[in-house]
Amino acid sequence: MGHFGGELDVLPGLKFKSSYGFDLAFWGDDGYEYPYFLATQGKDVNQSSVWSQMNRGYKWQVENVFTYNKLFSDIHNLTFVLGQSAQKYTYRQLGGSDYDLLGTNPILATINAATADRDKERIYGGTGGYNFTSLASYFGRLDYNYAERYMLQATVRRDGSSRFGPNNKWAVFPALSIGWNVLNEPFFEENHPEWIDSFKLRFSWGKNGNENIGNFRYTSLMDGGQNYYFGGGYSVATATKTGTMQYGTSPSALPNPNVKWEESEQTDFGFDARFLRNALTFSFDYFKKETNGMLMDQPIPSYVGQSAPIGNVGDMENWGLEFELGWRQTIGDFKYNVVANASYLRNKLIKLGNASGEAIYETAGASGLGSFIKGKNGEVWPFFYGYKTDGIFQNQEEVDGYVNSKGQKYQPKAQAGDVRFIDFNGDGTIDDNDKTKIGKGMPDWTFGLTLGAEWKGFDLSFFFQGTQGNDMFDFSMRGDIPAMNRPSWILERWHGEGTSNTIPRMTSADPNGNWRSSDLYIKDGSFMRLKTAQVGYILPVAWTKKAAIQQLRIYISAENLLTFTGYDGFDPEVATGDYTRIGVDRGVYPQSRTVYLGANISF
Amino acid sequence: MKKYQLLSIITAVLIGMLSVTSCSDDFLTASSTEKLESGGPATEGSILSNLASAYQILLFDSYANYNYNAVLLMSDLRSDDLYKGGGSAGDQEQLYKLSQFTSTAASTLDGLWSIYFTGLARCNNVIISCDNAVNVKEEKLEQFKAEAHFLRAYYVHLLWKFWGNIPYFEKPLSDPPYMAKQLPADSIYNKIMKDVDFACVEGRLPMKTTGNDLGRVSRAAALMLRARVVLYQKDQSRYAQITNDMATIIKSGKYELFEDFDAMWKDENEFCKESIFESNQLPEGKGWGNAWSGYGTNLPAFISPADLKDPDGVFKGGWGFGPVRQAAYDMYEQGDKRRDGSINKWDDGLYTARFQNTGLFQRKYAARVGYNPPPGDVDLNYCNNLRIFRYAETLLNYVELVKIHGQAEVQGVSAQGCLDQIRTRAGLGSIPATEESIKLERRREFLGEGMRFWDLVRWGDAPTVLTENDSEHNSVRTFEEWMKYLPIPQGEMEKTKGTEFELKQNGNWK
Repeated sequence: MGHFGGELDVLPGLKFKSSYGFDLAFWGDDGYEYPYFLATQGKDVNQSSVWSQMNRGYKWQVENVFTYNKLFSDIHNLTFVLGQSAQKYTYRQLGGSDYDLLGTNPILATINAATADRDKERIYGGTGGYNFTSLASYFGRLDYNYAERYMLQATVRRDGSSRFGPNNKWAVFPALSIGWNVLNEPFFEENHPEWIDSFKLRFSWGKNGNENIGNFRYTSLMDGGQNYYFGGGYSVATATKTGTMQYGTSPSALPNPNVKWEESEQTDFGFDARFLRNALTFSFDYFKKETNGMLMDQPIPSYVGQSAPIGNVGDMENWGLEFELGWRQTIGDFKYNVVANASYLRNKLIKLGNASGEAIYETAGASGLGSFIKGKNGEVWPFFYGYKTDGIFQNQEEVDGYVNSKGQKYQPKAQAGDVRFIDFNGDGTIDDNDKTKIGKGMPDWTFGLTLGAEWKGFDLSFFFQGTQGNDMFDFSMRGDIPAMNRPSWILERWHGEGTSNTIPRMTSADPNGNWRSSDLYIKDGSFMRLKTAQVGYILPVAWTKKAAIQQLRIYISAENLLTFTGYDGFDPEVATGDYTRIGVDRGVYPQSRTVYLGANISF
Repeated sequence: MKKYQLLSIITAVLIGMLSVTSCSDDFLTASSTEKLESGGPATEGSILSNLASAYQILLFDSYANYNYNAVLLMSDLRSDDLYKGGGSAGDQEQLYKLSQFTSTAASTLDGLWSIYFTGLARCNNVIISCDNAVNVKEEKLEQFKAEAHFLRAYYVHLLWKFWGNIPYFEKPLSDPPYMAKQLPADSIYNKIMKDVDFACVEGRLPMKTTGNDLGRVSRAAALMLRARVVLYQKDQSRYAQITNDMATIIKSGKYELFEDFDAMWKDENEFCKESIFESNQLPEGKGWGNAWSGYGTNLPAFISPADLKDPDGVFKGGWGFGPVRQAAYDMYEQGDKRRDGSINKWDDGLYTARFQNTGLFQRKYAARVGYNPPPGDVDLNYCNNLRIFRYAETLLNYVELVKIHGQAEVQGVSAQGCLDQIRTRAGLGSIPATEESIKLERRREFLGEGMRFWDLVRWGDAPTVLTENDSEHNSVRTFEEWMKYLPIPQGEMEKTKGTEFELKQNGNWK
């Protein structure tokens, strides 16, 4: 990694700054595996193997900026910035793997000590599929500050990316922000109450771009590895291959030559205030962000036979409020501070970009769950999708009595102990058209609370985090395998009239489809958690000086020490990866509670 | 004054930088270093690669797109030969619904739909690349085109049998809204016939493929596909042609029945003299997490009894799907070698009974020891080739065309003689070729090969044979004619909703 640059004073007030940075990185992945057996179905290895991989990435970045600054009449402070930047990245990789290691000593776990027949050896290498990726920008900025009272900043940038096709490499993004330090007005400067120290109003508006897609999505490349053997296949008797592999290729995703930068437009209005000699701080923001032309794979039918083209398809709207309240005080040797923040967020899908305005994101067919995550124009994005239920049939009379206006049984296959589903659209039958929004994984509110205190070398800090208004889709129980571990709440299932009105009977045949997607999976995911807690003590310098230690702090710290939640799964703060799966609990390993004992030493 | 001059020069340079983009467009134009762009000129090598990817679809029928959809089993689940089996009704629920004729748009064969449409798209690509060929000999090009047309016809014919009224296209759907018109089943039939006729033209494909071409399409395979499609469509105008096609295969002398019916299904007898076309599976490469690659098949694991302990150490356990019905076991005459060649009867205690258990399991593609060596996800990687066309079908097609559909015998081939060959191989004596005996003979011959249901449909026997009240085995079902087409997957319906390409659901499905 390196960086060098220069600054030149061209004229009074006019500076030219040029910088060049580069980053040459080497990394690899080496590993080996000896035979083991844990269980069948892929939890075993019968053949030793070894692999080794080396990578090299090189990135350079250049920036040239002119800055002109001038103070007029002592109160007009004006800055112009005009500049250009560019970056380029190239990459190389070479690796290999082989089977059947000579020995069991890990020292011998090298490819040259593996003895499998040539056919099983693999060598691979390349440049990541591209000769380079690059980004370029031109930008201009105007800063104007009038006596620390009025502040204005206007920016225009023009960004270009190698990820877009010839027509749409470039896009222009303007931004503007205005600030008003109210108490710096001469009138208020003299006439404001003593308890208020500062009050600043802010407004900003701007557009941002996103180019975070794969390379070459504007064209259609041929995917490889779709091979087939001719001239023979595999002989069980000799355990060898008898044919020849023909490498196979076909066009991968459909091209979209018109794909372009995703734009988001954000408006923010807020204020910062400080009170009581800066002990109390408060800030507030309202923001609204509209993302237009979201870069997403277009929802095309699968009969097209190729992966979906990317497109600037969706429009989304987010708005929210943010509050932050802080307090700090020192009383003799005792210092403490409290910072609380809360944010409220709403999102709405404006346009999905397809004809129906709807898309299914998650389906689990094998377990009988069906589709359960959906997006729809005008709704929060995404939401949980399923049937509404109305308790459990307590006896056969209830099943027989559950009829539509024509007197036909809604659920002829149901028995006592099965779930009563609701005919949501009122068409007299219960089918997929009755599925509706049953919850959402995104919280309304997220909270944070930080508490800190110091006293004579002791320090203490707590950080709480929480959410409110988010649902969990508790899919931690697999419906498709009769013999499996189940959560303990299954003990409270229906097992006779009046025993449960929320958990259906146990059945391996399940003719009623009790575990299709419904509000039975939905649970409140609100929680408050002590994310971190730490207590530390700095040993008196008099003690540590003898050991040539300038400062020695010992501490004990813990993560996830306490959780307050009504959710009965493993962890309400479940890691889901993809945004469309937010709030879905597939029974993944929960976050661990960790306790550290540590020391910070400076010599 | 001078300093303003300098300032204006700098400003002019910067404005120039902002407005001139031609040189920086080069800076922003990257190239692919590992993959070709599609649609360009095609060398013989790239046509062969495209063709291989079209063949690769043959390997996806058992597990791909994260679905289990062995096409033979998907065909047979609706027949009167098998039950669904597996862990419970809800285990692979879409398959239970399939077997009960209660599929829904939300619970249908999504995987099969995607896989064979991908086959269509890949075959289209091969044909387009043949049109863009550079420096490829004309006769080779003819063969490549014929192979691609055959494969396209084969994949589309499966979609056509399962769904009937399907979207169809011969060029990549690369323009918004990326959709194609749905055509009625009869129009799809015409498309299939155009392709299959192309592949059947004499001289384009060898009657039998051997040596390095083993596994490639032969002319006999194309003729067999034509017969299957014509018979299913009941297109009498073509009966004379396909009767002659069958006689042509018979008279070619390239194919014969394999003497040992049971041994035919073993690894060493793949591509045997009876085999006209089969998928070429190898025991590697498929993984639970990569749904579109690999060479193995999951079918043997899928249909073998759970926790099997074979005293002879030949067969392995599996997941217990697709148990064979007692009635199918009982349909064989005394001494018919095909019964024990097609069905494994396991005693209680040797395996764990699962849903709809009968103690009878399919044998032809049963999991055998040594057929799925590690490493990898071994349950997905059996090396059993799926026999798609075998000579027995040639003979039985000929018998049926002559004796049931009244076609004249051609090229001196005796229909009764064909039936006799089939029965002799099974260890049985001759019987007269009547409508009833021919139908029964087909059922006995092809158990577990994905033939029975389609035969019942085309003979018009499906509603009577398949409607049943077998509550002991959780199979209470009613078949009506319109049910031969499955519901189109819901996702596909929703994605086309409100467009000019809106798909119309089949029959009364919801």
